[in-house]
Parts: sequence; C-alpha cells; structure tokens
Amino acid sequence: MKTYIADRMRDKRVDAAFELGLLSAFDILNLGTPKEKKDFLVDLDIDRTPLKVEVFKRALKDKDLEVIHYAATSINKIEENFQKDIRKFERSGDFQPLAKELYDYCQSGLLKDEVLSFYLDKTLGVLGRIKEKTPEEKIMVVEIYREKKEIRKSWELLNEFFPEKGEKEDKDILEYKKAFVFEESIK
Amino acid sequence: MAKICYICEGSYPYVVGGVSSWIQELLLANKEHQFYIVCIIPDEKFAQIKYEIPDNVIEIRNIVLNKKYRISPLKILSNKDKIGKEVMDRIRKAMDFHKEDSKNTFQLLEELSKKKYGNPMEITMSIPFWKTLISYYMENNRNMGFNIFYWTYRNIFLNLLSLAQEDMPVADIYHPVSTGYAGYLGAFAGNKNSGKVVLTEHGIYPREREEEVLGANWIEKSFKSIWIDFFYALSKITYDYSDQIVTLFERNREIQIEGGAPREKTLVVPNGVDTLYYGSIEKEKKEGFHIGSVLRIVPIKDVKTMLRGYKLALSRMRGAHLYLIGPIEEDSKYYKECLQLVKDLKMEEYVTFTGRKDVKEYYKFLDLLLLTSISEGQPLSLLEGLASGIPFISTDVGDCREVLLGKKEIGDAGVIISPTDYRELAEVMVNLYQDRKKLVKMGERGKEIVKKYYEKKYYVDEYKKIYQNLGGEKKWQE
Repeated sequence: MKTYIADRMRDKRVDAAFELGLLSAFDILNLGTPKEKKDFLVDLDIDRTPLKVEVFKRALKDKDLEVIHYAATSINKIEENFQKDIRKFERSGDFQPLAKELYDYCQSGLLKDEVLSFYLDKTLGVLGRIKEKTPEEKIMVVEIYREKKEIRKSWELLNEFFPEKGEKEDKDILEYKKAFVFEESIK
Repeated sequence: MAKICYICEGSYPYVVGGVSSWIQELLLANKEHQFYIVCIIPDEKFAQIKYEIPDNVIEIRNIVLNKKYRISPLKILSNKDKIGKEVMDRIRKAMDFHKEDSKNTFQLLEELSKKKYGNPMEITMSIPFWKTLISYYMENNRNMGFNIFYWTYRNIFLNLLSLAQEDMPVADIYHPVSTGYAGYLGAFAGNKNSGKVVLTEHGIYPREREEEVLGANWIEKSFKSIWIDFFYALSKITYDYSDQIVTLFERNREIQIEGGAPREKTLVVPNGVDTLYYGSIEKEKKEGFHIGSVLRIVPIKDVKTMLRGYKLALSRMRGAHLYLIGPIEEDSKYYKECLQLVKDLKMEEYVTFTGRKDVKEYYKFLDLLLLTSISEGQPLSLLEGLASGIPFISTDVGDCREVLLGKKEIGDAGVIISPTDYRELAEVMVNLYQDRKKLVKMGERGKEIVKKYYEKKYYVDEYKKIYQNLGGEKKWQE
C-alpha cells in the first residue's frame, strides 16, 4: 500500500516535471517545422501513457499531414498494445493483471464518454471477481467510482476498505483521504 | 499495340482495393494493348484471384519474396575467386543506403545476376560477401549487435538479388504501381530489356514502410534507420530509372520530388470514376438514417474509431443504421475484434457488416458516408460515393481534404475530422443528422466536384497518352 500511495504521489511530481517538459513539447508542435515535429514524435519516449497520448492528440490537430499521420498511427499503436494485453490476460483468466491493464487503459486518455463508461464497468466487473483485493486494487475501485461521478459511493467504499483507526491510521491512507476530500470539494 | 507489364506488390489481382480497381479499369480501357501482370507476393497461398481477368491480359506471373534456395557448397566456394575486388567495393558502396548511388547498385546487381555467381543464397554466403559485410560493419556499425546486423543485410541483399535474377516478361513498357520492390523490379526489367518505365505512386511507399518500421517492436531501434534508408533507396532507384513518374495529387508530387524524383519527369493524374454510372443511380427513400462506409475491414481503415464514434452519436440519431460494405476476410483477427467491439458497445442491431457487395445497391439509399482511415492516397471509394451524390465525413488523410473542401467555386462536399478522434466524428455525424438540407446540398456539390475534376475518361485518356508517348503507338504502327 505504502508503495502504491508513494507511487501515486511520485507520479504527481513526475507529472509536474513533465508538464514543464510538455510546454516545450507543445512549443515544438506549435512552432517547429514538419520535420522537427515528426522527429520529436518519433523520439517521444515517455513511460506514462496518458502523457504520450496527450502529446499525440495535440499533434493530430497539426496542419502537416505527415505529422497528423504519424500521431494517428502512434495512437492506434498504443491502443493496439492495450487490446493485445487485455486479450492475453482474458485468455489466461488471470484477473489481477487484467484488472490493472483495464484500469490503465481507462486512465490512458484514449477512451471517452460511453466507450470509457463501458471499460470502467468492465474493470469494476473484473475487480469484483478478485476475492482478496490488494490495497492497490481497492484504490482502483474507489477511483473508478470517482471517474463515474459516483462520489458518495466512492467515499463510502474508501471508508469501508480503510476504516478509520484514529491515531493508528496509516499516514498514506490519511493523506489519500484528505486529498480525496480536497479534490472533490474544489471540483 | 504495345506489350505493357504491370508490376504490383501484394495487390492486383489478389487483393480488392483502390489500387487493384484502378489497374482493372486501365486494363479494360486499353484493349488495344496487351498486358502482363507481375505480382510480388509473400507466398503462393496469397495468389487467390479476386477479379475477372480481362482478355487482353496475356500472363499473370507471381514472384515470391523470401524464396528458399538449394545451395551448392562448390558454387559458394568458387565465388571466392569470381567476386573480385571491384565487385566487393561496389557491394560495400551499395550497403550504405543513405548515400547509395543507384547507378552503382544497378551495375552491381546486373553483374551479380549473371548465372556464373549462382543463386542469391550462394552469393550472400560467399567469402567475399562475408568479408565485405564485416568490413562495412567494423567501419560503420560497430556499436550494433553483429548478429542482427548480419541477418538484416543478408535478407536485404537476398531480396535484391532474387528480384534481379527474376526472369521478367519482355515488354515495351514496364508499369510498376508503387516504388519499393515493385518499382525496383520495374526499373531493373526496363533497363535489362530496353523497355520504358512508367511509375504510378498512389501512396508514398517509403513513408508507409517507415511507419511500419518505426512501430515494429521486433526491430531494434538502431536497425530501424537501416530499413528506412533502404526503402528510400529503393524509391530513388525507381525514380532514377523511370521515364515518367505519376502520382494522384499535387502534395504527393512534392513528396516525390523531395525524395529525389526529377521534377521534369513528374506528372499528376488524379483518379477518376464513371460519373454517368454512379450519377444515374436512382435514389430509394428508406425509413431511417443510413450511414455507410465502403472499405476493407483492416486496421489501416481504423474501423474501431468509426464504431466508437457511431456509438457516441447513436443515442442522438433516431433510426440510424451503419453499413460497413466490403471484404471482411483480409484480416480475420481484426474483423473479429470489430465484431466484439460492436457486441461490447451493444450495437448489434444498428451495425451491419455486409461483406463484399455491389455498392450501387447501397448508394441508392445511403444518406452519409464515412471514411476513418489513418492513411490514404486519393480513395476511389470517396470519388464513387460523391459521384453518387452522398456527402462524406472523412479523416484528414491523403487528398481527402482537397477533394471535399478544396474546390472553392463549388463548395464543401463533406466534413474533415482528425484521424482517431471519435468524439469529433460523433459530433459531426449528429450535426449532419440534424441538418438534412445541408446534407443534401453537400451531396449535390460532391457530384459536381467529381464531374468537373475526377471523371474516369480523363485519367484513362492521360494514360493512353503516356503509353503512346513512351512508344506504344510506334510499336503498334510497326
């Protein structure tokens, strides 16, 4: 659990750092020559898929057909990789990696509206079949309900999964809960 | 009468699609000439004819890439003496695809295609080839793994030598319909048999391969540039040895020139359709809102984006139905994934995969056509649909923007969206559903655009002229 929460926090820091990089990435997409843009997209090697998708999506709006074409091909490639892994885990019947893959797919930025809803429900279905959920998987359930805008249910589940323990409360969980309340209150 | 040899890579007469239909039309329209068809295919199983072959086709010849060769150890050993220093120097020069000089490669392959050296395997397994490869590696690619380097270069040279040794039909004109292996083969055959070479590029071959290479997980990053340079080098060879270089639209022509095509050899001849045929389709009013797409169910058409966009729009388009009209068997895995997506999104009632059907029957009642490809040239399906009076929503690929929005004096015949953006697709679909007047107006403009710019007669006549100018008429008079 600690690791997961720590990862989540680190992700935020990485995101922040990337945001800065992203500015220059978007500068290239706004101001670069078609060749510079294409080379940039070809060399793009970001671990975090959502950010990669964000950059490629921006490139889809470019004026140059080659840039658009490369971005579209890359988006489809990312999509194809997700689908391939999902099918692999579906075949093996291994719910835990399947749930993780589906969850990452939902978070990737590739899915929107009803299509996203379908995959969120599918992920919940798979998570529901895991009898002994890890803390990470419990957080996934909470996050999916948040995504589905079912905030009350999401909050109830969070407290059901991680009941209050007063002073013995896990520090990371406490931080997560605080962040939950803060983020939802400013929406 | 001239003898013309079409050279295709994995298309006519075995794959249904734009390039194949284009060849079929030209065969039918040039009854005064005789044709050979040479098709480069991955294996013999691929060779299932999908078209009715016109009478003026005198032979269809298949060339299988990655052939298996029997080898004679004696021949391999004897190449040690036959392949001298001069040839080794040429091999070495030809290995640098980035700086490659097409004349050198030609002379080299002409030399190595002589029987005395044996088959391609006996050449690439010879000591001189091995030594040349090692010395090129040491000088240029030491930081790469040698094992993959060796197999990469051996495969490339095996294919080049194998094609150079092919017994090609003797023709007056060789007409490859792409660069790549087909273009190289055309250039080689033209040079060897003193024929003229006309190249038509529908898409830009090395750019298409470049994407595949960049996206291929199985090719190590450092080897990707070797493959990309190789495909560009094949294009350069084709350009250098072609007498006429044709493409479908201006933008592609500029790309060809950037890729080394001499400007004076280039020419734009757009695709064309029979406007009388498509324009005379009698419309049938059918209850509901009917959306169609004429396509092969393959990943490059990005059918999944179409299905997702349709799903988002469906609840706002009462009576809508989507027809996917075209062959489903080319990539059965992808087709199954599309079927699964339809099922997952609970759209079985609202989507039909028709398989290969007479599109005219569907053009009678369709209100709107979709094209969601991530890569196209100048799709015939777009021109046919417009000629039938049906507007399009198309992704911004190939020449689609120019066809739909570029003829300012007539007006827009559709809407352009970003590739893969299914939200945008859904929005545009709903907007057009709600504005039927606009839809009808766009349909009328589409008909006008095709009549003015993309009439079949124009492109047929242009090719007749090209064949004539390249000696077809002279041969006929003889």
